Amino acid sequence: MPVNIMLADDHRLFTTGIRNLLGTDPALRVTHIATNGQELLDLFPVRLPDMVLIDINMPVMNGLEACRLIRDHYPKVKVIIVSGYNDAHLITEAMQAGARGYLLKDCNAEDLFHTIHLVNSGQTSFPFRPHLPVKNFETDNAFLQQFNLTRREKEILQLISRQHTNQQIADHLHLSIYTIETHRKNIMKKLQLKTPAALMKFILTHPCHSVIFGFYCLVLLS
Amino acid sequence: MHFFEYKSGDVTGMLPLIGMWSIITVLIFMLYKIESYKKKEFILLNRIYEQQEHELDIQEAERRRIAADLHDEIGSSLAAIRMNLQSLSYSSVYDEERATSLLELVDQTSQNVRRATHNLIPPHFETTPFTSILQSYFSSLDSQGAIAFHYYCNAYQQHFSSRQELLIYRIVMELTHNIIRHAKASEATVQILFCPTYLEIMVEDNGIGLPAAVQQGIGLNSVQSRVRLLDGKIHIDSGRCGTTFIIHVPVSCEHAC
Repeated sequence: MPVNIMLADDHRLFTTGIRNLLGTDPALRVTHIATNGQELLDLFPVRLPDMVLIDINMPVMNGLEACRLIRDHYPKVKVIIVSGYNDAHLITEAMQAGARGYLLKDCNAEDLFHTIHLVNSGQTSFPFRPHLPVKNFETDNAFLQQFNLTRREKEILQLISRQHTNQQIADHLHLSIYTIETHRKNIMKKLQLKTPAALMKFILTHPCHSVIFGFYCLVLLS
Repeated sequence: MHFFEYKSGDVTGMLPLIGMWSIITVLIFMLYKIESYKKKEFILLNRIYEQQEHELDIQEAERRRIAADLHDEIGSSLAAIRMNLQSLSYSSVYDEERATSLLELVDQTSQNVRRATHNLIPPHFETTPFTSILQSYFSSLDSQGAIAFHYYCNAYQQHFSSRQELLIYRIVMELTHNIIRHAKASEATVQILFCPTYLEIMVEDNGIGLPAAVQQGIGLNSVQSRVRLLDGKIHIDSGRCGTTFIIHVPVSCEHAC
């Protein structure tokens, strides 16, 4: 039994091309071509496909909406999004909308067949996008990571721990007092402290104080 | 009361008095003029700001339209050309080689189109959470260049309209582009910190600092006018160890309540 596939894209030439390409594989059969999401869904009661390839940008109903509807009403139909966009946020949105795969419109024929067979066998296939972790300040330093402090904020924290005034810190780092005050406020917010006294207490009692101090000694020695 | 004793016609005696009165009149008149000029200046400035606001709106609308056209027409056609090229069968190896090089050309062109579209406006800007857009932007920056960008955003809440978000996005973009182009930095940190009453955008780099003219407010026009549109405040702190931008954008009442 060949895999029954429906296509949805408002660009005729593209769907024709893809149908011709898929026609070269005897295991695949393109049964219908729709020009938007609504037209595709209207075809479903007549004959339920095994798989659909849909574009994101379409008139009347776009691919992501159609994908969500298919996920909710026809969970057996596997959806692959074929889009011209390669933005991380759209790929994520496609995943959340229930798509099993995401292909770029300018993919190779091999990628296309590979993805279709992978999805047909029950797996998923999404392009690799390096997601920046939200907390990416010096991942080796657990202390910074724990509180999302930036390197600059750590530097200022060190200077505060040496009882420097804002003016002294500003001079030391070649920054204005306003910048230092803003950094100070942000540090307090990130550490969830309310008063300067609480900050001092945090610096003195926190086990990581020794880490900061040790780092500072190293700087002094070097 | 000696000044009643002046005889009529004794004008010379009254001269100092007349002189004093005329000086006072002129002064009052000048003060009045200054006030009215100030008012006019204020009105004109406001009109300039309105004009700028209008200009930015038009610019964004145009960008959106061009991006949509680029993607829908040129991008889609290129994809169609590619698909069809691939589905053709070739009679000789020579033909196939030519088709392969054509495919490469199409690929390059569609990549260029995609980049251009994205630079105009990220796709589906209105319907995507703002933090994902920023995340996406910084991950693309990170894979591109020599500058290590650190990005941090605390719990962002939907307190801005999508128009305001676009302004904020443009500010962040402009500042990061300036760092890439001019700062000669090796590292930069961008933080979007959400506070209950305002949003703080903090952009720091360890580059060569801004030229003196820029620090005095020349240049950075598009950033300044966008900050003004958001009723925000900008603080620039630049020296030989790098530049720090601190921008505060107040949360507008209609969205906060």
